[in-house]
Amino acid sequence: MPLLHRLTMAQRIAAGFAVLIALLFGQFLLFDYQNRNLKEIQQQLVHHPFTVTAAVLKVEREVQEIHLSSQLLLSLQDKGEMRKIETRLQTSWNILLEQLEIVQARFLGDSDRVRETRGLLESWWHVLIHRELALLYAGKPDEAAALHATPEYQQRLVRIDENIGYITGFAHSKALSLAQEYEQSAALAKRVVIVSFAVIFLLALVVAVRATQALTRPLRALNQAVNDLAEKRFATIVPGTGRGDEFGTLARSIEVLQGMARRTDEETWIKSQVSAVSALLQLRTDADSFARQLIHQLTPLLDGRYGACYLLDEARQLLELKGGYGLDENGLTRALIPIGENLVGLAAQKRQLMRLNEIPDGYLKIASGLGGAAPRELLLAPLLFQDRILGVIEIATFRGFTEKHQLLLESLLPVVAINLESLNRYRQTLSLLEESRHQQQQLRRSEEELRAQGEALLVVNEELRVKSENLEQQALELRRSEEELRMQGEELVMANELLRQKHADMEAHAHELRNAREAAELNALEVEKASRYKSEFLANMSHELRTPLNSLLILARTLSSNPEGNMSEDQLESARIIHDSGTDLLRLINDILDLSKVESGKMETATEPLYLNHLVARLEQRFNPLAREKRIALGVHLMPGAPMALLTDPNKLERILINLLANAIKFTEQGQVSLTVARATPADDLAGPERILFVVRDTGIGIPEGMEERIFQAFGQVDGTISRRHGGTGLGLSIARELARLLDGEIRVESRLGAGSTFTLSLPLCETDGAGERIDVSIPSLLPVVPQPASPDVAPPVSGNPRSVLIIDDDPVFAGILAKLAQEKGFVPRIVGSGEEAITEVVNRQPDGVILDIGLPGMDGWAVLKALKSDPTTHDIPVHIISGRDQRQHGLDEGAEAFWIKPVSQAQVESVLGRIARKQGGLLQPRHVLVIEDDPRTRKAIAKLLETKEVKTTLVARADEALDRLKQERYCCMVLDLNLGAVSGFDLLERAQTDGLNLPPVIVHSGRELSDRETLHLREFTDHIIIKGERSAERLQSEVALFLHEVHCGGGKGSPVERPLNPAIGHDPVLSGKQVLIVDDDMRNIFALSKALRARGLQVLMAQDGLRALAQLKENPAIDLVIMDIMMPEMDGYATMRAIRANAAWQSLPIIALTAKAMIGEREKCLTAGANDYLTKPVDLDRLLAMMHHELSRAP
Amino acid sequence: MSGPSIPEIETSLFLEALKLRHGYDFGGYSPKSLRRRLETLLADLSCDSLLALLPRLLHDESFVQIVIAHLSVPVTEMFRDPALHLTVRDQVVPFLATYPRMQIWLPGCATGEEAYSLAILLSEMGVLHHATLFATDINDQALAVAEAGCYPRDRIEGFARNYRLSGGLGAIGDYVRIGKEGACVVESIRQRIVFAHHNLVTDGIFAETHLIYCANVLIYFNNQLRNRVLKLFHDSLVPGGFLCLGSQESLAASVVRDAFVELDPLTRVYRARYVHPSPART
Repeated sequence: MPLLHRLTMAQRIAAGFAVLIALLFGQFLLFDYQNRNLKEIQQQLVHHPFTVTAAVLKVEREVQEIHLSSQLLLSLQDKGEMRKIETRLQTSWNILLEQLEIVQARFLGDSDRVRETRGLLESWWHVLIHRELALLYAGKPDEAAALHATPEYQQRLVRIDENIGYITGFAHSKALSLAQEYEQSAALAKRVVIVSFAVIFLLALVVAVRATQALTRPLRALNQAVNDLAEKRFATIVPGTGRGDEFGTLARSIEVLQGMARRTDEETWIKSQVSAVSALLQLRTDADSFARQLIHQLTPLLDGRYGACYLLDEARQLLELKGGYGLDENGLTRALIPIGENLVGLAAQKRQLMRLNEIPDGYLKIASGLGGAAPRELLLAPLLFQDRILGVIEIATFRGFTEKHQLLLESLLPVVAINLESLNRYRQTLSLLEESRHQQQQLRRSEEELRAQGEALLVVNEELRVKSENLEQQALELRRSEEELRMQGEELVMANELLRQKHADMEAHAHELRNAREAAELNALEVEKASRYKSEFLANMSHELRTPLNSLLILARTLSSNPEGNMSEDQLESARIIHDSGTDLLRLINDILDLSKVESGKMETATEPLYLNHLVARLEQRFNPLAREKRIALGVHLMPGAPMALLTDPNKLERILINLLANAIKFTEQGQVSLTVARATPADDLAGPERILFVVRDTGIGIPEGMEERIFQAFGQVDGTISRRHGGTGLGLSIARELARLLDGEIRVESRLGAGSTFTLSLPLCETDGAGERIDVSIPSLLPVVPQPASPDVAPPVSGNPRSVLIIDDDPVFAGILAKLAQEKGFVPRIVGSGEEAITEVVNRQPDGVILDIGLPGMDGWAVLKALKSDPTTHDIPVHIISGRDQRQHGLDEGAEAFWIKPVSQAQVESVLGRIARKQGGLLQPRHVLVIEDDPRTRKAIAKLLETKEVKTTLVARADEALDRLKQERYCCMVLDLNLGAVSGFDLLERAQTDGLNLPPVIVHSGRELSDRETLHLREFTDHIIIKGERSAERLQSEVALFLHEVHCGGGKGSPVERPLNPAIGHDPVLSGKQVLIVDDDMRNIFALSKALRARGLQVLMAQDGLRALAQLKENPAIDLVIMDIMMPEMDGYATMRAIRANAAWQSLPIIALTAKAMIGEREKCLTAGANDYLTKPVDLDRLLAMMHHELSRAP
Repeated sequence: MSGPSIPEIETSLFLEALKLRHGYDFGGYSPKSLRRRLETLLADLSCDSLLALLPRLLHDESFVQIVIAHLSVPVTEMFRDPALHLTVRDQVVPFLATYPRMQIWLPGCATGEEAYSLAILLSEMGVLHHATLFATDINDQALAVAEAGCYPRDRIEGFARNYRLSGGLGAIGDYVRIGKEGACVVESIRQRIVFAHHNLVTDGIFAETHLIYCANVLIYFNNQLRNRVLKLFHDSLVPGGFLCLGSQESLAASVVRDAFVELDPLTRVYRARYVHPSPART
């Protein structure tokens, strides 16, 4: 067995399997051997008997074949067939020989017999072939057959059969014996196999059992050991550690594991003990209990029976016993041990753990109640913290210290040391805390002391403050008194100043008083002068105011009468407004004058006899139209008993009554106004001598109670709104009352608001027979109902027979306007108010035209039109309808000449009249235009441009021709070229002027540009200057057309130049003959002004700008006055005036500035620049004349 | 409580003071633009209230010019309305050329650019030498600029563009020279223009004119003032004279509607009708 034990488990298993494999291999070899035997037997069987038998059988069959074929040959004659058979025979023979060879080789029996057979056969074949065939080919079948029949032949055959039989039989028996031999060999082999298998099986079984046992036994033992280890039975000895096989290795590994587990267990224990001890120690708060606790815990842990703990008293460097375990009170333990002395001190000094096994006797004895014993081992461990000794632990044991104990100690001691150190520190901190608490208390105490001292100081302070305040108070009082003193000083100074001021004021005052006195004296003088001036003013009023006003009125009148027919309706309206306003102004001026005269007592009365019937007739005539217009009734009653005539101032009485009546009508919207003249009765309650009453009664708006007096005040109406509605100067009643007083009469008023008023004028009655009264009943009437001869400022009718027009309208106002316009245009108008009247009138008088209104009372306009158009005698008379309703088409269908819709403008009325005038026998008279042009082609072109059905042109080439024409005929206008050869256009115009020829409107049509001078020159004759150019034809047409629409063409045929235009414009002696320079670049203005001024006898010079003005002044030193426009190119008015004033010669030359500017300050600007006066554009001619008058009369 | 707001009251007080003290009546100006201009005035003077300006307005003589400069509308440029200039060039000037001497009025000319533009146009048409242009405004400060005829150089480009658009035949450089004071209009153009102070609200006509060029001035006026001014224009114009109002203005609703014929509806060029001969013909 020792060999077996040396082998490893793997080796042992490999050896077992090797034995088994060897056995199996042996069995295989056995099987193989047996098999080979069997196979050999089988091969013999096949190789010999079976092959020989088969070959013999074939030989036998071929013999038969050959035999039969030879038989067949005998029966054949055909040699071909014979040959075939021969071949077949040959083949069979060859096979036979082949088989016979096999038999010869394999046959195990008697080989002689085979050889004999072969001989037989060959001899047979030989006979057969060589002989028989030869015979047969020779044709001797019989012989051949005979051969067969020979016994030799037969015998040979039999012998062959016998031999074959023998061979076959031998082969057969040989086969049987071989089969038997095979059977025997097979049975033997079977037995051998069974036996060998059994042997191998037994061998394998033995090997398996042995192997199993060798594996499981040590495994179980190891398993036990591992289980013990898991259960911490570290004492178990691991089996098989000495074995050299795998189990030995495993057992050693487990042993190592056991050691590791044991150490881990110890460490865990140590750690748990360390932490337990540490936890307990941490609870200690003083060194004594710490030491006690430590030694009581530690000693049992180390299996000690005695233990002592010394702690170092650092101050004394002595180790002091602080805790003991199992300590013998009487023992030798010393309470204090110096370092380095005895074992304990030594341990402390060496700072090393000391173990003493041999304790000297008597060193220590561990005592119990029963006895005492000396310990076996002593351990001294110093407690170190950061290499600093804290104490020493001494433990004695009976058993001795183990490794575990030492490890525990090593782990525990640093922890204990740390704990001890932290305890020490804690103690230290505590003591420090205590100390600081103590110091704090001390501090508090000293604070308390300080506070007490501070309070004492405060008291002292307060005392000091009070003292200083007192001082301050005293200082303040001092300062105050000082300030007071200063103030007093200042006041004194001020008072002084005031006194001085007052003194100065007094002086100034005195001076002023002196001045005032002087002023008052001056004023008194001035008042006197003013009063004188006032009288002068009043005296001059009529002249200064009325003269221009008169001119204004007359001019306005002239303008509104449109003598030239060249004014637009707007302008006419303006003229009328000027006229009306002028009239109002004149009235106002008169009123003011009268009033002031009466008031100043300067009004004188001129008593004359006055026929009352004349008076009332005049008044009635005067107010009737007005009353009619307002559609109120006017009643004038001369009561029975009233005197025929009266001795009074007729003008003043009439003024009073006019005022009262005008007033009454003004304030009456409906009802009536009446004037009653009657003798006063006593009931009228008028004291004094007999009186006559003029009672003006109206049904007007009345006067509110309490306002009766107010209406007599100047400009006093009941309220502003009325004044706006009723107009008037507001002086009427004042004047009436004053005049009444002048006539020793009085005016009283009775009125109720809304019910009318009654004004009663009472005068003293001075009757007269009326002798010597001037009778003047011609009162100017605005609208003559009956045609009157044309006034001098209206152009006379063109033809010898005045044209007549019949106006059919029931509105007298409108009819009047039409009549007036017609009259101005040279017609003789008639007015009828009804259709019936109209027809009679037309039939009887055959007027040149009819103006018809549609809305007529009774027979209406349509009926009138129809009647006129159906009567052959009146059929051709043109009828112009002017109606409020637009029925133009109907009117034209009915045969009217034209239809006009109200309201119609003046221009339209003029157009109507124009058409009537031009229509003679239903045809329009052509208008003539004179064209003066030297270029024949241009002449033709102009003619073509202008000529129409209504326009005829007269073309001339030369100026003298033109003048001749103008003297012979009337033209609406003339178109004048300036370049006419010898006599130019300029010359023509001038000559016409000198000839006193009244030129028609001139249109200058110039082929060249004109210099400013030429233009200026031309502008004296015309505004219409056309420079030939791109668009000049158009303009020419427009300008000519302008004149063609005039009602009558106004020039030529020797008509004299109307100059002065209005004889009413008197020649102001101051102005007449004076030279005036007009400086203006606006030609329109220059010529308008110059014409107006020339008309007043002035000589006019013109300059278009400042420089030319200065030149003109130099040339004509006789210039009396300059009219200066401000806005001019290059050198404006201001500069020109300054330049004039800069020249010493012209210092006092009167200059009147003209400017478009009406701004504040403009006047000052002009005056500063040197003007004497200033006038805004558009120029008010009268104001200008007044200014000129003033300046020129002032001038030397 | 309804009634005029405080700014309205202040505005009317201020304008009343302006009228009473200096004679400038802005009552006819459209309140909206007036208010805006007054606000600008306040802003420029860093003042909160118009009333605070009253003492200055009343006592400081030079102050009124500042106020007027703010209240009038000096926004203009050369050939401002090229289309209008084209119309004037093609349809108006040929007519004007038939007058021996033409007078042109440019009310509200502000800093004069339009006047110079028109003068340039006339010069190119060869008629400037017998034309006189009256360029008027109420803004003395603007008039001073206009009279000097010098404009900031940077505006030249705009002038040149408009000049081309309005059918200019030459180059703007022919009429404007760059100098120390900026771009100045040459003397030959300047000498035919009269710059003058004229207040359309109060002042009358000062000359017979053939063309009144008043683009975009009336738009700042109310109806009443507009009518007054248009009447003024009509009175100043000769029969057949021209009135250019600028595309923003129309005579359609005015009192002088019937006295004019519209020549070009696009640029609002009107022509006075030949209704009556000049009143000077007596």
